[in-house]
Amino acid sequence: MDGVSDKATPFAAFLGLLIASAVLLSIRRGRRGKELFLRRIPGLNSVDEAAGRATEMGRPMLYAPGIGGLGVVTFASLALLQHVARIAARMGTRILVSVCDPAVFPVAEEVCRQAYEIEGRPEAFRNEDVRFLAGSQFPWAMATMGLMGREKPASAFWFGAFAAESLMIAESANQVGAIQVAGTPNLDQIPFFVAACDYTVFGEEYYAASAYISRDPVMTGSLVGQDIGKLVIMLLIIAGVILSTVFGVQGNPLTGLLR
Amino acid sequence: MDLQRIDRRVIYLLLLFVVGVPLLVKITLPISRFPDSAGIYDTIQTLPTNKPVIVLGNWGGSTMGENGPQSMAILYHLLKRGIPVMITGVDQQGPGLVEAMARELAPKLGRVYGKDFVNFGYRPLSSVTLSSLIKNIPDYMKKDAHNTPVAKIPLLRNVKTLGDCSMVIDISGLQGTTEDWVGVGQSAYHMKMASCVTAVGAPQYYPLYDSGQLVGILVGMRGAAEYEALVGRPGQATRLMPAQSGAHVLVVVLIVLCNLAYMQQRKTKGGATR
Amino acid sequence: MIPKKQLIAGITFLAGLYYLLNWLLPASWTGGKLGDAENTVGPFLQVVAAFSIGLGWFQLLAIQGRNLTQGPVSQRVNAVAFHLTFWTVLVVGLYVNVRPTELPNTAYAAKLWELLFNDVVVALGSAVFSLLAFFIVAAAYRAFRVRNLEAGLMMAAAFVVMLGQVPVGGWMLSWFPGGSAILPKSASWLMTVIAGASLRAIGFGVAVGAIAMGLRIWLSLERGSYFEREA
Repeated sequence: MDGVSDKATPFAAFLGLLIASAVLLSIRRGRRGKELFLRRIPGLNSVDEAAGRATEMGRPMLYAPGIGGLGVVTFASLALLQHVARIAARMGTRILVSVCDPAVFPVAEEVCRQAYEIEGRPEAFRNEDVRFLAGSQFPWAMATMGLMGREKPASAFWFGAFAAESLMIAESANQVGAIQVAGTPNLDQIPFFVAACDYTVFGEEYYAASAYISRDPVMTGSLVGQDIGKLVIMLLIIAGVILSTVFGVQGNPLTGLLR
Repeated sequence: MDLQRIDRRVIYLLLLFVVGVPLLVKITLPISRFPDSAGIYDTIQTLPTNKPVIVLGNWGGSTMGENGPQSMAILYHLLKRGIPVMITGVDQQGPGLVEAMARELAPKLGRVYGKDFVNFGYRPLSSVTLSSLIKNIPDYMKKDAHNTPVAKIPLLRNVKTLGDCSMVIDISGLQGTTEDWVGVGQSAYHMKMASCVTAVGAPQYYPLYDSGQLVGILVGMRGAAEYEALVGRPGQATRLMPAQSGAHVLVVVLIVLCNLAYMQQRKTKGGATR
Repeated sequence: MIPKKQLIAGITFLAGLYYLLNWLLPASWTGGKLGDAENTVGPFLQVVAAFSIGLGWFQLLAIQGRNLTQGPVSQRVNAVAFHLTFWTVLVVGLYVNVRPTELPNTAYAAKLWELLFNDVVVALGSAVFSLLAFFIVAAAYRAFRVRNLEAGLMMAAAFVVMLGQVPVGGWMLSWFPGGSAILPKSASWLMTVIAGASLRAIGFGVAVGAIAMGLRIWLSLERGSYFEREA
């Protein structure tokens, strides 16, 4: 350890703790029953509509939790998967889950099984409907496209980390006439989903999905905390612009703090 | 014919035609010079020749069309200047493909494996292992891709930490690899970093380039063609640029046609309503 | 006996606490011990992930095995293709990469492996990625309608970027002095300044969202998911 490390700088540590504190305090406020406002997110409102359409048409729905591993992005998707799987269990509609990462596969299966148990229909759950199709991006995309061609889902949910395959799967779903809801925090895939899907959720909306759908006060509180965190960043940007204008970028005291 | 509803198979055929013809007929178009590509060239020109550059082959067959010519142009520049090159990557195919390119260039430039370039092969780097790597390169690498111990590799004689390298160039078809190195490697050593990415993944790297965290970006095949022009060695990317130009023009033409028909339809409907 | 839910919550909390402290605390405070433990934690995570690959394989084999014996003809064809490629790659890969010097005919097997990997997998990967071009063109044609002023501005920006990124953009305006640089420079400005600024803004939101989500998972506050029964 020669003094060089990948540790947080004091400023990064302070900022991280500040945002985390804001989130935790807001969760506490939410728990105490404080009424918190949530703006409308059309993409998330459409989840129930898309699931309902599959029931009306008597065709399955397809859910893909992305190509990422077991991280924050995929966990956010699995929370939504449980919501969709519960609707499927309640309505008696088949839900196909297409998994790319092998580590995600057993968790996705467990999430779906529980959704069916919660709805009191454990016997209706078919574990072969949660499928590990391939361990890498394009083979998975091809296999998912094939699955859509055979099963003709009425609705498709793309929630998670996606890369260049996003447009391929979304266009294929479009060709089989599926209504599509997509959500990803991957900035470079947003344009493709916007072009090919009926509803999209991106940016921090993606992480707000489980809170927005559940309307749970703890979850809603954490969304308010997120907004406070963003406000802190905005204030820092404004301060940075003013200080850099007055002192120059090198003379800006904030520049020193960031190193 | 309804220009708003051209069958997608017709569109596919048109695309095949505009991409295929420039591959068969020689067409020469001038190559532009973007500052994002020139940033990498200018930085490599100023690098010392006694410190290695880490070239990350984070790509595979799927993005070979874009990352392949990028790798060739960058390797040519580094090896021509006599800058030692250390190859590794988190893609199973990438490091081997980059090494093959270096071996193709080496005899013409008088470079040899082990002294001027070395391949450490595929390393499943998570951010955890990345932090081990940057603190002690020989201890983490142990052997190269051909099982030669690091003690027997001349290139590594004076390399202990990432701080002993002059630059990291991430040639990537994957997501998040550049961010990992910027977050862990650059924050620790203030390394010079560049990213060579596919055109589809490029937009998210512009903020890093604009803030100076990346000295430059090579964007897809157009970046590779520009780099080939900068190093004075027109190659595959330069030959393929007319095909890409054709595809871009086709998209523009199709969108314009479709919108003309759309406006016409709106006008007709508006007239009928009135 | 500790209930399953509490056990998972406890392990999640401890694992998260380790990474948080390792990031926050300077190495000098802990004598470098926390950082050194990464060398143990990292391989541990990789081993756990490797075992999960086995689960994926098992299910793939089970489904394709059933398709082979019970499925309709189209699925049987798929299953034959799957088993053929799966077992060929597995056997050849193991033969070449496990103790190669002690087995006979490894040179032939290595050539076969090279053929499978470099000439089949790499080529197939390139082919599939190139399909993206067809999807992009079809999607752009279908979805890009100028319905209002904003859409018009977006289309103008898209044309500048598309034409500015390729030589034909420079060539189109090269009939007047300095014209060839107009589109490339405008494209670069749009990408760096306009698109860059908006991506930064979205990126900040994503990062803060990830912190909040991470906290909810770390403290097991995420409602009703991952092995907890939702009310």
